Amino acid sequence: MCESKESIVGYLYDDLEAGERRSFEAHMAVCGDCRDELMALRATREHLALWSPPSRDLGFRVVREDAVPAPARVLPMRSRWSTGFGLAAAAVLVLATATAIANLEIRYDANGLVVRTGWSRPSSEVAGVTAPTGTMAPVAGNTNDDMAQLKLRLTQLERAMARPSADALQVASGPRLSDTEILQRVRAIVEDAESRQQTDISKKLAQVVRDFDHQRQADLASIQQGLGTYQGMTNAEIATQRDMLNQLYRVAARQEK
Amino acid sequence: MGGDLDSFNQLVLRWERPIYALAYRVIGREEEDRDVAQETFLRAFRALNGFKGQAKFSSWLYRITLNLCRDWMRKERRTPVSQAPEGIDIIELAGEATPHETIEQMVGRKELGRAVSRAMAALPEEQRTAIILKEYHGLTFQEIADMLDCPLSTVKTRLYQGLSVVRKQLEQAGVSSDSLGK
Repeated sequence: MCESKESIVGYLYDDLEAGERRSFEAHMAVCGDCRDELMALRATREHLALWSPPSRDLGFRVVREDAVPAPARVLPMRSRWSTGFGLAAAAVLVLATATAIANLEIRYDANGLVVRTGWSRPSSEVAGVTAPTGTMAPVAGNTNDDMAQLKLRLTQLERAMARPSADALQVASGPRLSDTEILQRVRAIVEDAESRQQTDISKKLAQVVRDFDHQRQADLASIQQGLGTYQGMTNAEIATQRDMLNQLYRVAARQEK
Repeated sequence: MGGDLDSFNQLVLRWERPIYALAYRVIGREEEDRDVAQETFLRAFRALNGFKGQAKFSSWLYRITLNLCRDWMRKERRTPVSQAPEGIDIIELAGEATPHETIEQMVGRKELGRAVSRAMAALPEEQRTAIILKEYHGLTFQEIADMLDCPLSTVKTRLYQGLSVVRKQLEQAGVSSDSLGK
């Protein structure tokens, strides 16, 4: 081999300056050994291209270990609100969702805290938003437990909001929301959830009706087919019997003669 | 980037396959290469604040991968082996088929790939790494020299020597340029 290894590799990977490339090509034109060497290395490169890793579903993803406290330099994604506001928002959401599902009406007026359930109530009247509009008959018996639980949750919420957020991980970079804004958002979420629920129920009912219709039609068609078969069999039997009778009649008539 | 996990995972999605391919070709063991690739991204995420952009992000990732591969090989005191499965799964092969390729051609291509894998496993680590970075990841000679902390001429010499050894190994295995369908 006449040319240096570096020149051959440089030419092989098209990494030579113009002058160097011309000089190399001029040498290739007259030197068979170097030409063969170059061709062999080119073939080797083509062979190398056939080696590929197995096609696997990798799905790598960096996640945070919740059990381990995050190091200070890693900012948690979910901690957009301080702990106090987060807890407050979560408690309000739970309350509002439970209220929407049970369609509770909660009023506090001269008669005390009144809780009423009923699907006929409009969902916009959520706890703590509407003002008392008059006297309402208290609901007896089985809502006392609900009332106690609601009182407990409200107390917890008040305590949480009063507690300083000393153990907050990171403070939000965005603006803090007022209680009214939080409640409005929660109400919007609950209304959205309710309307989606009703839509889902309607769709499911429609599907059940369709399925029932299909099944009924299939059953009717099956019965029809069965009846047709029986009719066919009966007609065939009748025809057979008629033939037999005719045969007997002919035989009898011949014997009489 | 400020440690934004979602943004980093977008980078992971973009680079997971090249990093896995690099680990696979350097180590040659199917489960360990996956571990090394995962560890690469974990280390990269933890060291993200230290990445000042003085090199390409891909080069930085490749360097982490190569270091991990080297650590693994030293720890295990193993040289990479070709770990291709004994049989050929025709159905899996069909999924990788290129258009207008017959079954025989597919099987032939797979067999050639195995022969190349065995030939590469026989190379010293420096030569194998230089070929992998140049052939499969398209790095320039200078980038390879920077990554491996060696002179430019050394990179070219390693490439030449490595290619020559692979060529001889393939010839001994009965692979010639005719097998490329020329």
